[in-house]
Amino acid sequence: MRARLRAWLAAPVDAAGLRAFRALLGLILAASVVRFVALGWVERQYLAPTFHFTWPGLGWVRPLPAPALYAVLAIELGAAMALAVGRAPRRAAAVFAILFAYTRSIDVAPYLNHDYLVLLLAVLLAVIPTHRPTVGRWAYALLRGQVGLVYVFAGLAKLNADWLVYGEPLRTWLGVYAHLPVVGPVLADDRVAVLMSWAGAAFDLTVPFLLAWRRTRRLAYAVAVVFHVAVGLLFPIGVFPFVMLAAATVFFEPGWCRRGPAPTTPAPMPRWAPAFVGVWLAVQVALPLRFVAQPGPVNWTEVGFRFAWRVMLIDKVGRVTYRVAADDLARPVEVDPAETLTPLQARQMSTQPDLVAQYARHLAARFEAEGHRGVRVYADAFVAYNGRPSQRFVDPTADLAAASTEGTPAWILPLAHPWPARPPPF
Amino acid sequence: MTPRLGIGLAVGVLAVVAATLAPGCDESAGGDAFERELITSWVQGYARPTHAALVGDAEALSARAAVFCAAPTAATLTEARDAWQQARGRWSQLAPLRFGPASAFPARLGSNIDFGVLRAEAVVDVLAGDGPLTAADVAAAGAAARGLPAIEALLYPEDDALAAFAATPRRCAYLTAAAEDLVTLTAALAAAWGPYGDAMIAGAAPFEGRDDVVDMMVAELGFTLEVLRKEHLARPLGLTTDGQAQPGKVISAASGRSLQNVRDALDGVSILVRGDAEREVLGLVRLARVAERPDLVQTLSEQLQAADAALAAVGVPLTEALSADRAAVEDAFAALGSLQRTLQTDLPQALGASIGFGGGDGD
Repeated sequence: MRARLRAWLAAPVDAAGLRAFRALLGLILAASVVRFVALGWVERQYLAPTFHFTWPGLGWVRPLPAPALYAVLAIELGAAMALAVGRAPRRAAAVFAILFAYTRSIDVAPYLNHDYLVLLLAVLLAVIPTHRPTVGRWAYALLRGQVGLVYVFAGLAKLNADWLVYGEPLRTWLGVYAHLPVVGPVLADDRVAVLMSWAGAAFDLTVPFLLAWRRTRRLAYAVAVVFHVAVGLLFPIGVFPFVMLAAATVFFEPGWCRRGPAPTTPAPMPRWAPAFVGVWLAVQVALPLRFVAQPGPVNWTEVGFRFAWRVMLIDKVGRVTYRVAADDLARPVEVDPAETLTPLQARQMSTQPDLVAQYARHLAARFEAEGHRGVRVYADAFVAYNGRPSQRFVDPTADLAAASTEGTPAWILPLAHPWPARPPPF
Repeated sequence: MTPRLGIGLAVGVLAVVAATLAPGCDESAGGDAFERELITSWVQGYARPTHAALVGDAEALSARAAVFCAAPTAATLTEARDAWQQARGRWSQLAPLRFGPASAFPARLGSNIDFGVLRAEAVVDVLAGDGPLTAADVAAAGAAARGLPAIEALLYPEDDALAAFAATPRRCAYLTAAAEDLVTLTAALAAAWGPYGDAMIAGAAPFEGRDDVVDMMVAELGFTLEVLRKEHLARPLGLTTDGQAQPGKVISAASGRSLQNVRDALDGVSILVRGDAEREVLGLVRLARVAERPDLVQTLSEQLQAADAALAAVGVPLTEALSADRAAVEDAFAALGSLQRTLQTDLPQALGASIGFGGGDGD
């Protein structure tokens, strides 16, 4: 069995399809880097903040001075272009992945699922020898597995009452377009939101399989184009639709873009390849499922929410203020984080418990540095979630400066309103 | 069907979708009728008439100041103070509209009309000068020395007002010049609301459509509550420092009007949120996405009333209440906080005012 699997993975296939994917992704990433700089996000996300939310274990990552940071982005652009034209593609992918990982490690607040996907794909392109005429089937299996898992977990995450019964958050988001001529009244119809929710879940759950099956592939890709571009038109999700449309091409026949006969060159499979494929895909299955080990609804607690393809699932608006108490203070001092955080940081932090706790620890350190003793930090944090009335989501009596952030902390209050306020449309 | 044909078909479908959506970017091509009606009511029923009334109040204040200075008596002083109170109340009612013409550079009319907490030394510096004092001189003295707070400082000195005016003749010159300057400022602000209001109604530049106008108004309502809570109450209470009361941070301390300023501002918020039939102003709650949430409409209504009641329950001027009735002030602070939370979380979510993706979506 193992030998048969190994032989199947080692079987040489045309690498032209991977090169096409690599070129498309390279172009998208190059455009993405230019867009990032042109929109002023280097300044806004890395240079302007006086405080950065750090990733566990990566607290030492700091933004470089502006000229060096722009140089990093320039090298990222060069690497993306090299990927696009196929110049030293594995090294280019590795350079891109390292620099992209560095910039995205500076601050947790701007975390995006599609940034995570881009990083994963860049790492895979650094591993897969796309420059050869043929590759072992393992290379396609790895990429198809990765892209397929994104879709499937995105679909599984949508199997909940908010999405399927109440049509939330699409119902809220589509209502914004009520003023559009012709399509406005359609989009604002709550029943349409539910129908689109079902269609979205069905699309995510089936499209990798329909793309993988030759007889349905063309139709599936056409639907994918309509789906992703329509979502891109309706919602500000950046380059994500284009990344997914490029990624979906890995399901095409390996020689789909080749003119002329397919190469027959043998493609020796690296010894580590089968284990790498197995471990990589196992991790990619385990990460999105880690929430199962945690109590409480993950969309509310957000414990196990990142790196899990839980996309377009929640609409949250929050507001957090802190009360800092100390032995030498007559009364707690109220601190509005919006006074020091950037609007993006304040907004992202206001609905994500780990960031609320991280900023509390920062406040405690700041007050202690100012000479205060016995500093305690409490949060008045309220969140409105998927059309429910706003409620506290952090225990106001919990000292967040000292509170545990392991697992699902007890200071995350349970969801008080099980269902959205508006009744289901059907 | 070949892959290329499939892709071609998909792109064709997309082009149709894009063409259908594209007209939405062109406001002249259409738009939600109620949204237009709503914004028109804000502009024509509230912003413009209230700013026009403010000009009238400033002119009345200028006239009363002149009368007082010509014949300084207790009666004429009271009339001048009443005129100031009227203007101050009107200005506070306009608190949710401190954007656009009020904040635009370089005029910064809002800051020049109301600098916030009085900077007494700026007024003292002008009083200490010599030579003639005109409205232009007051304007040149800077924001801290002009507008409503400076006039308040002149009309409500710590000691006997009539004696203060008698002892410093320049005080009257300053008062009349500052009042005249206020007329100029308010008139400029009211005039600016002409084209700015038209832009709001049309959803034209600087706005990106009427949705953008509604989004901005929702954001401004939340910001207004933030200012009321923090600048008017939290700082005097010392809640942003060490918990010790800070009477020097009280806005309108001299006139004792601090809490009434907040109530007037809350009245302005209420008019824009709930509407006002008498003024023919429609409220945000009439928008379909909010109206579909009766729980939210009720919460907003209750919180507006509760905040006003809590402010009214503070029985003495804020400067005294900081020590004499601190609990009541803290209750008012908390009531404003509840309202602010609803305005900044529930209301924008109901409206989809800014699509509040989860942390990992969008960019």
